[in-house]
Formats: sequence, C-alpha cells, structure tokens
Amino acid sequence: MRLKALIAKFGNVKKAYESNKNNLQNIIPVQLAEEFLVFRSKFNPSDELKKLKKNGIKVLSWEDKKYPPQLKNIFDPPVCFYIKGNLKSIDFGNSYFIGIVGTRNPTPYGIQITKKFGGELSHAGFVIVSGMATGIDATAHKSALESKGKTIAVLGCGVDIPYPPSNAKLYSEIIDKDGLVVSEFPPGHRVLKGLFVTRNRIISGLSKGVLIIEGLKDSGALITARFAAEQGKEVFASPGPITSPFSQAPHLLLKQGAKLVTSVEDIFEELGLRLIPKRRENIEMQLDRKEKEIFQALQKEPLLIDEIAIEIHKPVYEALDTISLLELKGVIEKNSEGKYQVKI
Amino acid sequence: MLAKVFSGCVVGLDGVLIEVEVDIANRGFPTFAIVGLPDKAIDEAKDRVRTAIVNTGFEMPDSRITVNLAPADIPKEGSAFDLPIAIGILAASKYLQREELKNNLFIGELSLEGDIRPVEGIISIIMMAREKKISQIFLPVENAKETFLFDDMIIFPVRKLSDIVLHLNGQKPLPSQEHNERKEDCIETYETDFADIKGQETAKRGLEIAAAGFHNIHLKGPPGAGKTLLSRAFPSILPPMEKQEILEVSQIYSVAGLLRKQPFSRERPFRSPHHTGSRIGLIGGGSIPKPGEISLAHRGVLFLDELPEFPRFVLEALRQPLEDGFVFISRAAGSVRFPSRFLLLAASNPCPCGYLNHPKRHCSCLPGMIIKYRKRLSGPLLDRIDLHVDVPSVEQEKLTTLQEGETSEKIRRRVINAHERQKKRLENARISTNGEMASKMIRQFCKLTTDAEEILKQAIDRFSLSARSYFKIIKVGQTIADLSGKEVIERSHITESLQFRFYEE
Repeated sequence: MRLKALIAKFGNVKKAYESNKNNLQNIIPVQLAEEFLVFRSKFNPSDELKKLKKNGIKVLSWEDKKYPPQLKNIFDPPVCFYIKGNLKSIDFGNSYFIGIVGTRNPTPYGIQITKKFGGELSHAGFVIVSGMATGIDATAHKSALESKGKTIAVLGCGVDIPYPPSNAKLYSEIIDKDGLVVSEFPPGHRVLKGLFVTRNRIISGLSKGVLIIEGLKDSGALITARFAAEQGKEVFASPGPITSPFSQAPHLLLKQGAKLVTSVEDIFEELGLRLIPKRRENIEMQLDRKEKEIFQALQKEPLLIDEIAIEIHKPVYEALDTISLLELKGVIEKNSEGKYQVKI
Repeated sequence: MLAKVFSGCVVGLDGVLIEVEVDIANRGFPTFAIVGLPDKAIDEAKDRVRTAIVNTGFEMPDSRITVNLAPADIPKEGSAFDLPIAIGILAASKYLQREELKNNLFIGELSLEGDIRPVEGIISIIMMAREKKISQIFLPVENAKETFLFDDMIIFPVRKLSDIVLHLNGQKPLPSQEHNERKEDCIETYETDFADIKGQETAKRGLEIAAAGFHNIHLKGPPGAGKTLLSRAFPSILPPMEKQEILEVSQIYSVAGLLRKQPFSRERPFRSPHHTGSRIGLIGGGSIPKPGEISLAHRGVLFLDELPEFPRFVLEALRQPLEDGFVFISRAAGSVRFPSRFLLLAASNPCPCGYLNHPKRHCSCLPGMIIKYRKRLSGPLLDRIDLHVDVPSVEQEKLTTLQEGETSEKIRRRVINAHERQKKRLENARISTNGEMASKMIRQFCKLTTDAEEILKQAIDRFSLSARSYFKIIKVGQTIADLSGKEVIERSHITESLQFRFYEE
C-alpha cells in the first residue's frame, strides 16, 4: 500500500528509492523513513542481484512483464516475487492454477482424495498451487509431480530454505521437475509464525479457485479459503465423514456456500470450462486461424451460428464453412438449444 | 334445322372439345332437351338460354329442341355451355349464318338479360382450341385477362349475346382482344423485403439456397422467432416465372376460377393453407376433381406453417406429389392428373407449446407429447426436405444493434444467376433446378473437387449419414456452388451444405 503511494508520488520505484528524507516523510511514517535510510546506506542492489543469480533465484518485480497478472488484482500484491525453478516452464498469464490446501495431519481418506483431485487436475493441465507443508499440501504437490503435471509451492520464508525440513526432498524434486518454489520474502528470510498466513493469500491469489480438503475448525486452510473469497476466487470443498474432526473445515465452508466437489468435473463446471485446459491446447494446435477464432469464442459460451458470424465479423456463409470443419474435426457440437458448443 | 357449335369443357386440367349440336324439329310436341351427360347446372341452362334469347329480342322457337353435347360419354358440368347452346339455337332458327360458326369456339354463362358471365378454366380451353386449330374464340369479357399469353389467337371478349349476333352477321364487328396490355399485368409487389428482417442471417441464407435450387426447406424454431415473417418474405427472392411456367400456373388457376380475382403476374404462387383445412383442399379432389393447394402452389411455394399440426394422413398424401411433381386423383368417373411441382416451405416448433429449450420461457409439454409431435415429421416427408434450418429466437436488445440485412433485390439477382446456370447444365435432363435432380442425375451432373470429396467422406463417417442425406448434401452443395458462380463443387460448398442437414435429436 505504501509502495503504491510512493510510486504514485515519485513516478517509479527507482525515483522513490533515491529520494530524500523529507519527501519520503510526506508519505510514510517518519520512523519508517528513517529505518529505510539506514537500510539504504547498507544495501547494495546490484550485489544482491548477483548473489541471487548465483543461487538460481529470480526476482519478479511488480513492473515485470512476467509478473503473474492475477496477483495484480488482489488487494495487497507482493512487491517482489522470488522464484526458484525454471521460470520458463510456467506461463502465468495463460495457465489455469488451482490451490489445494488442507490439514497437516490428514486422515487416510484425506490423502486419498488429495491424490485423486491433485492427479486428475494436474492431468487436465492445471497447475497445482500449495504451501509445501506436510500433510495435504505435500500430497498435492506429489500427486501433481507423479502425473507429470506442474506445481508451485508458495513458501512463508525465503525460497532458499526448504521448510519444513522433512520436505527437503520434495523441495528439490519440485525444482527439478519444472515446478516452481516462490515466495515474497527475500532469500534467507527465516521462518516466522505469522508469515504463513500472509503467504496463504498468494496461494489463493495465483489460483482460479482453492480446494480445501481436510482441516479442523480453526485450520489455516480456512484462512486461505477466506482470502480466496475476498479475492473473488472460487472456494471448493470436498465433504468428509461427519464423525471425523478433520471434516470440520470443509463442512463449515460448504455450509457457507462453497462449491461441493465430488469429482473434478464439478470444478471444471464452476470455472466455466467447457474443456479441460490440456486438451484445449492440443486441439488448438490442430486448428487454423479461422477455426481457432470460433473455437475460442465457443470456449466462453455456446453460440448460435448468427452470433458466431458476428463474433468473427464474417458473412454467415463463411461461418458455416468453418463451423462444419470444426464439427468434422469433432471439436464442437450442436446442443439442444441449437447453439454450438465445444465438445467435451 | 341442325346447327353445330364448338365449345369446350375442362376435365382435370385438360380442355376437351365439345360439339354442341342443336336440332330444331318442326314436328312433335315442343320440348327442350339436353343430352350428353349434363349435370344440374347444364340442365338449368334451358331456362337461362330461353329467357336470354327472348330478352335479347329474338324469338324462341316453339318446337322440339334437342341439344347434344358430344362426345356424349364425358360428364359435363357448369354453366359455360349456355352461350354455345344459345348460339346453336339462334343458328338453327336461322338468325345466324351457320357457315360463320365453323372456325369459332364459344364459351360463357348467360344471364337472363342476355349478358355474358365469366366461367372457369378458360386457359385450358384456349390451349385445346389452339391444338384443334380453331382460331377465333368468343368468351366473357371478364375472362379476357386470362388470355394475354395467346397472342397467336383471335379472341373476342364479349359483353352481350346480341354483340355476337351482330358480329357474326357482319353488322357490327367486335373488337378483338389486344395483346399488348401484358406489361401492366406483370407488376411485382412484395409485402416484406429481406432487408426489413433483422438478424436470422442463417435462415436467410438457407432460404436463398432453397430459392436458388428449388429445394424443399424446413424452418424450426420457437414461436415469435420470425419463421412466418421469413416465409412471407420468401417470394421476394424467387426468380420470376418463364412463359411456359406462367402458362402452366395460369391454367391451374383458371380451372380453379382464381385467375380473375388476382391479376396475372410472373410472380410465383405462394400458398399457405391452414392445418385445419381438409385433405381434399390440400391435395385436390371432389366428385369432379379440382386442383388443391399443392397444385395451386405449382411452380411456386407451398408454405405449411406448424407442419406437425397437419393431420398425419394429409402429410402422407404429400409424398407422391413431392416426389413426382404431380398428383393423380382417381374417381369412379376416371382419374385426372394435376401438376404439383412446388417448393415445400415447412415451419415447425420444437414442441407443441413451442418453448422447448427456449432460453427464457418454460416448456409445458410432457415428454410423450414432444415425441409424438416430432414423429409427425419423421420419415418419408423429412426425406424429401433438403434443407433444415434453425430459427432461434432473437433477443429484442440484440435486434437493435444489428445492421440492416441485404435487400431482397440483391439476393434475388444471385438466385436468378444460379438458376440460369442450373438450366444450362440440366438442359438435357429436361429439368431446370437442382432440387429436382434424382440421385442418378446427381451422379451425372455434379462434379466435386478432390478436397470436397475428401471432406464429404469424413462427414459420412463422423455424422453417419445415410445414402439419401449424402445425395442431398451434394445437391445442396451444387446450388451453393451455383450461387457463388462456380460449376464444380468445392470444399467450402460441401461444408456449408453440411450445416443445413437434418440433426437427429
């Protein structure tokens, strides 16, 4: 928030960084400005960057093109984003992300359904986002890696610290297998209790929706769900046995109106996906420009032939030609309303 | 004294030459008898003729009058023999010179005053007269409009019986019908233009193809979507009729007695019988067979709104005429053949209430009703429909944002060009439109490019098309090619054609 105000005042980060004490005090509290000046005198940005590079850590600042666009829309996006892993492997703008979070002490049932959903979602082309905690989080990451999908671990400490240490193996596996470990905290930042709550907002912020698997009634998963709701994301929850205390969190969410999920199709439906992202990519590769245009329009909603023609700004007979080709490729079909839709 | 006068009657659509023989015998009890299978109307001619002759100022012979209508075995009906009978009596009574009658044909009903009233079926009779080389025809003045196509005949429209007598006796010649008033009669006016209809571009395109290839077409959509409006605008894009076609159509209308009411034009007929009408009204018939709606729609459009509401047996009766282009009506007295080469324009709702799958309204039909409703359409009738078009309901807000469509005039020009192309190609097959092609002709006349064939093969596999649909798609594809000015069917023509196939639900 303060950074936003500073940028508004100085135009960009660099000018703000280099400005004098008086100017800063106009915007941020005096004490903070003084602390900042002390920090500035000790800090050497270019050295820091070199150090990061050496450790294979990349920084995405707010103004970076690769900065996840969905994060910019949340209330308090992180200023900087530290990333470990192959940044090229994940396209933040065009991939579908889903958060899977839950208790650190899952029941066998919780592990079972996490594996099911994690595996199926990642197979469908979703990027699984979680917090790399033990229990559900770790299972979610593992299931993604097992089905050769992509996954992002959002840490509550520096990205160079595998926390919890028991998951060190998972940590390196994520990085090796085209996943990412990200954090808003600079490398070397140590584990502090309150920070895990703030990282939860990034899990939900990156994702289209968050699936809560198991948790007690004061679970951290509920905080993630609350962030998701505040950020306008979908909240999904899977029911569990009512006799299990670990079903309390998901059941509470379900009562409050979360989407009840018993299969991945429930998630696709809620996100308005006519087609799972992975198949979509494969299909789009086979289509020419005109076909792709119609296909993408239909991906959003089923349309009548006339509406398609308007959408692609072509006379209706040209639209008819392309629609037939798509139909022949088995990509679209006519529904009972007479509209064309993408074939699942 | 015996006099012989030519007249004619209509059996089915064909004119038949009738010789009216009148004999006035000086012996015997005075009677007036008509023989030769006359019906009640002809029998009553006696009184009309007698009074008309007297009121015209002649004397009715007070002796034994026998009128024979030959050939005697054809049942005759109507009042058109009044005039020839009267002329025959006058000739037999020597008021007229009998030699003058040889090359003439008379037809018309008489009023008691001696005025001549209009009759039905004039065109068939004139055509028959032309064949029989009778060059002069006297007919009621009100039927004169029906004759303009016969510029090689001498036609006298007559107002009164006395005019004929004066003319034949060379006292006061009648003016013969002039043939140059045709142009005035060819005014083409249309209620609705395609440009007035916003949206529904797919349906418009479907209708354009139907008009161009004379394909039967089926519009399906909820009430209020614009099916009827589109259908009403349909005649405005049809190509004008040619002379031969006008003749065929006029002949039917003349027999049905409808030609006098509406002026003659090159505009194709558009008939929209209601589903509560009888089968005879639709197909034709009656104890003396008359053409029904399907024949009145010959060379034009038969619009059946709410197709599934028509009784099943009526729809079944449409099959033969759709296939053959004519209908046979058999009666005890013999069978007649009426031409019925029409374009079937059918409209239906998705279910009896019409709101099945409607985005806003709720459908109140039971599943059984919907199945029953659809079944009405199924089978042989659907097989004869080449184009199936959805006419979805368009939201009011969207209508205002749409831009104006093409005018009918513009579409019509394309249709006419496509027609010319077809006529040239199909000349040897003695048909003129793609819609009439049988599968053998499709094989003979339709050429596809290799990618068109390839895509058609794919379509057969994917949509599991029947042989019949296969031919229909080529047929429609040919019309689309004709519309775009191509002779060979290309891939894009087949793909467009595919969109107008029937969707199994």
